[in-house]
Amino acid sequence: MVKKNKEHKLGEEKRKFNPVFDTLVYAILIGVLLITILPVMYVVAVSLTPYTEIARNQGIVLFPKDITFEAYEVIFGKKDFWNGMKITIEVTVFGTIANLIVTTLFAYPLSRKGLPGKSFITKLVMFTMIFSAGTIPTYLVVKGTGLLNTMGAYIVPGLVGVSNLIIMKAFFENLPEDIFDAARIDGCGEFKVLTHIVLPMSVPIMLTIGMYYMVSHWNTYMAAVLYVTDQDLQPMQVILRRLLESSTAEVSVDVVVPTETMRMAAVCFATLPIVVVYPFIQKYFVKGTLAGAVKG
Amino acid sequence: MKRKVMSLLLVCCMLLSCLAGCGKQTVDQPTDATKATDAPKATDAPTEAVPAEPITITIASKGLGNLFPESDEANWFRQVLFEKTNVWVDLIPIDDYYTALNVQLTGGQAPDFFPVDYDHMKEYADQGLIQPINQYKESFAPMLEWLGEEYDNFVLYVEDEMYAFPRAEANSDLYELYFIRQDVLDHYGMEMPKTIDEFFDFCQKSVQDDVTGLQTIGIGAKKFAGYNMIAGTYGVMLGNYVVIKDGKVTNTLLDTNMKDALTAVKKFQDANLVSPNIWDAGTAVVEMRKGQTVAGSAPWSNLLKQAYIDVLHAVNPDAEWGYIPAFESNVEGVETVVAFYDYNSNSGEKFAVNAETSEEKINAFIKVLNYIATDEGKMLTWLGVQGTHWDYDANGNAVVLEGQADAINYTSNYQFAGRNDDEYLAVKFPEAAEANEFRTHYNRLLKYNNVLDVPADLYLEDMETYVQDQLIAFIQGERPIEEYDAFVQELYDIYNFGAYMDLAAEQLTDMGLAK
Repeated sequence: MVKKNKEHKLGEEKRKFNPVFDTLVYAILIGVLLITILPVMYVVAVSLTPYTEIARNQGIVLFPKDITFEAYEVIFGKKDFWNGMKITIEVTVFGTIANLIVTTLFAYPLSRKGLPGKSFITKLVMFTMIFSAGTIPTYLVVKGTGLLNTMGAYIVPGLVGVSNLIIMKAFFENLPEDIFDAARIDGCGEFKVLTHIVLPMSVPIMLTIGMYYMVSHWNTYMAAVLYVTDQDLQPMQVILRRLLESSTAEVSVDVVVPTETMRMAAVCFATLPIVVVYPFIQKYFVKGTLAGAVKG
Repeated sequence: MKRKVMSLLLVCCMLLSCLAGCGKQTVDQPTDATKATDAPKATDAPTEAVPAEPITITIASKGLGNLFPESDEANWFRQVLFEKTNVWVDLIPIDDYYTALNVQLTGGQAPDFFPVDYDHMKEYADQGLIQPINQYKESFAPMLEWLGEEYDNFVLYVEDEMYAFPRAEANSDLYELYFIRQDVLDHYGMEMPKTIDEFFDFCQKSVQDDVTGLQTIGIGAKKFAGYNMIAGTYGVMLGNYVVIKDGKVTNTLLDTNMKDALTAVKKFQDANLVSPNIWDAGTAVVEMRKGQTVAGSAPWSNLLKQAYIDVLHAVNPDAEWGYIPAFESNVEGVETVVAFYDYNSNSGEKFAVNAETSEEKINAFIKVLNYIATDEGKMLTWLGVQGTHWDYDANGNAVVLEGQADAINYTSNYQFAGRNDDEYLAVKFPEAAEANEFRTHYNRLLKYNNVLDVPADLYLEDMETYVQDQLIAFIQGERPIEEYDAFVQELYDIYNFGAYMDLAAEQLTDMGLAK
């Protein structure tokens, strides 16, 4: 309570003494907001505007006069878009769950003080972050493990993200040691400590790391290009790139380039699900990131 | 004690998971991937094994276009081709083409056949990743006869071994056409401009009046193509182009008319008549498609397909493209040139054979090639099935049946042997017939750059970037045109331009093209 009042006072003092500074900060923030939001508005507006109106407005439309869902109707009618979306959602859901399980199981022991060789293993893991294997050796491993042309090719090679592991490890290290001692006195084993004590206290970090993994799975592209030739397993990003690329590349004389409206509708279609999820996780985001950043 | 044991177990688990990727796969766990690689090769297999058995071949494709069927079941072409040849042809689209192909080849997972350019063909042949096909020449003789013997040339060979199938490619350089808005000419009651001065007046008037109502742009084009409309009247094109003039090897950069050409181009630039977006591949074309631009240079295929005409008419129902004949020359004794084309226009990508592809599959591919080289096969890859997708009209011309245009749009992906482009375009794009006939009358500059070697100490890309930057500087007035000679001297001093031209002269003389 005392702390809260103090914070309140500090805030008042700031407003009192720095009106110019505050105005400047708000002006900059509004500028940043516009820079961030205008491209999104543009993409959404163009996707809903008849192409003729876009052409008449020199390609710039932020508030469409006549709304049309024609482009969306075409996209919704395309089987490969739906299939790509299905694959991407599957990879994102199952991939993120697998990532969180494995990363937690890896980070937790590394965060415990008594672990023999802890420093060596941490350095070994860090080594892979700095010196990656390279495209062809990784491809050979994926091939050798029979993951080519399977959903596993999207999930298994990136099962543990080293930076996420480090953040999670740091978060676990910050948890009060007394709680662990209390749990052990009450008869908990290491696994029970993890599942019953640590995980319930780690919701922010789980959601934060989960979000990182989720976004990376949502954007899966190179794994599909390199490891998957089966067209039924192509994720959304590959399908989307094909559509967008055809508008700028030197295309065959037989290809008709889709209009701007169509391409922007495809972008919206591919982005919407991840944008919808984000607000629900956002409140944990800063907390989780900062908590993990205290210790390296 | 219990904690220590637990900790040690966790350490072991982590180490094992760290090292898991380094393990060698055990023999008793075969995967689909290894099964494919370990499959007996053609030489081990009986050559005449069950010939009636259908066979599936995989062929890489750099892009299938946005109208490719969404499933094998919907792909009527694949089915018909199978019925005719007993071969299932599976096209494998590869994105980020050479990156992914390199990885797949190294990993032994590349498709049976894949298109490669000459440089990659040499590289793959040196590494043993593709196999020579000399011994099959007899087998694909019908296809070669259809194409013409001239397509069996050096671009298919590495040290006398043939590594790629002959293929006739469309020369898209020849698609370039000068456009002008006929409706705007009519609006002003003007005749088709004959000189660049008349052209200047037309563009300037259109821009000043904003005749389109869309913030009118005078000239639209991709990169230098718009400027070249003007420079061509001085017999030159802007850029590093090796040409043969009066039997001698020279370069457009060394042409004595270059300074006058740049001065003329600068006049258009100073009057803001050229689209500011010419360096952005897509935007300048979109400006033309929607009718914001009143003139320009572009491949006919970028503007005259029905879908693009529909866009143009949706914005302005009266808009209509006309075609500009070559402007009158500004130099006595020099003929105006309109755009350019390559000496060896057939140096693009050809189909090479994966080193691991069996003889049976190669023969199956040749069977497909020979079939699409027949009249029936040709029409199948052009227009589809007669009676379903196309038919002959009363005049005996092949015409696409109503509503079938989209259904046949993807068949070009199966033109593995290429095509006679003029014949193909006439049949496939009747709406552009007039434009396609018009463009054949242009006098185009013939350049030889793509058959020339480059001296080891010359970084051609660096030099061409510098040339481009300096030419833009001259046009935009950032560098006075009086310094043009100094600029050419810089090429000799900095980029070893002299050695480049000497080597070009030597090569083209050896080829019997120059004196």
